[in-house]
Amino acid sequence: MASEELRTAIPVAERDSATPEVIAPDAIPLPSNRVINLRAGTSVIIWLIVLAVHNLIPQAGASFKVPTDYLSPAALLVLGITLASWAAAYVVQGRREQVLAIYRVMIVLGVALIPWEVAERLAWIKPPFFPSASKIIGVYIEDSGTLLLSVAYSLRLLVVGYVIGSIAGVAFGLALGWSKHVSNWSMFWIRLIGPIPATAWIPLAIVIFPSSFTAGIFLIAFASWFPVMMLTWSGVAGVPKALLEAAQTLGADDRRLLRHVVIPAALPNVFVGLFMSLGTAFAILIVAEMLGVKAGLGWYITWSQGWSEYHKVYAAMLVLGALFIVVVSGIFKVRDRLLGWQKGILRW
Amino acid sequence: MVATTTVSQSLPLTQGSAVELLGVSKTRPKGDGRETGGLVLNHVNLRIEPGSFVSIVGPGGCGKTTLLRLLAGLEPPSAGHVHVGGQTVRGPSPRRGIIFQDANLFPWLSVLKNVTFGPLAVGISPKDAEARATHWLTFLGLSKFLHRYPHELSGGMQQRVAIARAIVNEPDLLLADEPFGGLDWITREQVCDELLRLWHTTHKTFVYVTHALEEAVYISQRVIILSARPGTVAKIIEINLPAQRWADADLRFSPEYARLVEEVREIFAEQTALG
Ligand SMILES: Nc1ncnc2c1ncn2[C@@H]1O[C@H](COP(=O)(O)OP(=O)(O)OP(=O)(O)O)[C@@H](O)[C@H]1O
Ligand SMILES: [Mg+2]
Repeated sequence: MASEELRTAIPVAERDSATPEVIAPDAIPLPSNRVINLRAGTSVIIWLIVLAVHNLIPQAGASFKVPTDYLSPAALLVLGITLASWAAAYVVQGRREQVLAIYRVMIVLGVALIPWEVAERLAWIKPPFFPSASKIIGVYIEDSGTLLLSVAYSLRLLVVGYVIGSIAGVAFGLALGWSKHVSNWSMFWIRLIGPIPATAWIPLAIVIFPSSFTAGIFLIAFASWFPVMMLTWSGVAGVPKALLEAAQTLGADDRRLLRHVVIPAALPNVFVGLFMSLGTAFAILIVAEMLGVKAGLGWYITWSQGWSEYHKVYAAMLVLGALFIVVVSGIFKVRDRLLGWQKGILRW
Repeated sequence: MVATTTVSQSLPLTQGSAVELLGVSKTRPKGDGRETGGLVLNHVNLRIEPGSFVSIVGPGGCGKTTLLRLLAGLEPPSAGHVHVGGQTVRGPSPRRGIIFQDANLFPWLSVLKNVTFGPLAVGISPKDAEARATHWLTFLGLSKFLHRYPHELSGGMQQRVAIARAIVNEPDLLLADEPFGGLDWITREQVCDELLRLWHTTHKTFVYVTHALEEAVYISQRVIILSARPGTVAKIIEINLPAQRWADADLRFSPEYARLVEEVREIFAEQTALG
């Protein structure tokens, strides 16, 4: 009965110390020198080709004015970044994954640029619908002021509308999931009104709201409200009954149950809703700005299109994409803070 | 056993609650596609002395879980009265702790926070709550895992956290529903001993549901055997073994222990055959 003796002989506290500490997960091995060199080399070669294509193929078709060359400096900048991060990969070895991520983007960008440049130089594609890469890059330098201002206006409209809509969505979702009365009374109406696309509200919104800005806020808020509400609701409905019962037998009243059990348990779902509604919010943002709001990226796009400045349209589209990335990573940051406990359970 | 001494010093030796079931029946609605509805508990009369440790065994589906849920106040009886500590049970209360078959820990809270949940809910200051929680977690051998999340622990450790969480409010009645079903036998014996020692230091009333007849005999003062569904009390067997059983490594091999296990087994088999 060795185990019996062992068990009774060792007091609890010592048995505890015999249990190994939970150890950190195995570190993921760093990318090898070979992989780094290969990727960096590829990037350098590709961007040298870009430079060569751009500078060595003579421009076909008569051009009465030679446009400023923005592609060559940009390509040189990319080459500079490639070389700098190549060095960095050896100095700060822990950053190798990030360096590789940079290379992946640059390689793909370069590979896409080569045929584009060839077609452009040989005049197979023609402005204004298909401008040169150089012209698009030029927008960020020549028109940076207007562009920045547009970003600021768009962000303001988006953030205000999205925050209002999300708060309303979470509040409605909690009420629906928490109270049978609320869900019984409003289920029908939510099913009826919720799925109406926000764009269908435009005529009414323009009439009801005093300015196109407030109408825009309403439309964006409406678009984000519905998905957030539905996911919050399903999150609340999905809280395991066993956890609620456990909390109740520990003395939690309704308020504590809501604040300390229901909300944390539903939070993963809420974030899915927040993420989903962000896409819709962006779409509505642009629609709103194209329709009435006289500022922002959507307005910039319509305005540029009116002047046939398609290079500006494309430049603004890229900024829009970048803006989305920034906002999404902001939301992910918040999620990581609040839902850190999920890290060991789910694949992120 | 340093931990044990500090425990008995910190706790007043108040007795647990008496438990009384008077003509308790429970019917469940049919439906959900399963024809399991109908009478689950049939006129159960039972008295559990304050401060005693009783086990409940019975054939599968005879209503053991249902009985504990009635005691915890998670469900009302269909007929009869449930009294705990002289008062009718009207809903869940922190005076009645329960350990479920699954640990049911809050996955978003660390081990420590899981255990402080109860004290905070009954209005104990955060500092005291933490002190109490740390105390019980240490008693149960988890002092190194206070800041881990539940999913980082093994099943046995999670069950210990569940014990700590249920006991930290110092309930007068502790209910346990097959709490160690998922554990290997050695761990199970360990955690059983810890529960037993806990009972010995706190002098509360413990009601322990199990499938393992030997465990029932080993852990409790009385074993209540329920009939097959609809469950009712078939037989109560007194277990006259020394109170500090964990201290006697040979107890499980004594003739008296074997005789008691055999007796419980026979009645249990009889009831299963009848049902
Ligand atoms: N929610 C429910 N609805 C309908 N019937 C139920 C419900 N819960 C339990 N039952 C039925 O009530 C009876 C008693 O269930 P209970 O869980 O109390 O049994 P038990 O003694 O704990 O069984 P086991 O030993 O398998 O855990 C079973 O026949 C079961 O099918
Ligand atoms: Mg059961």
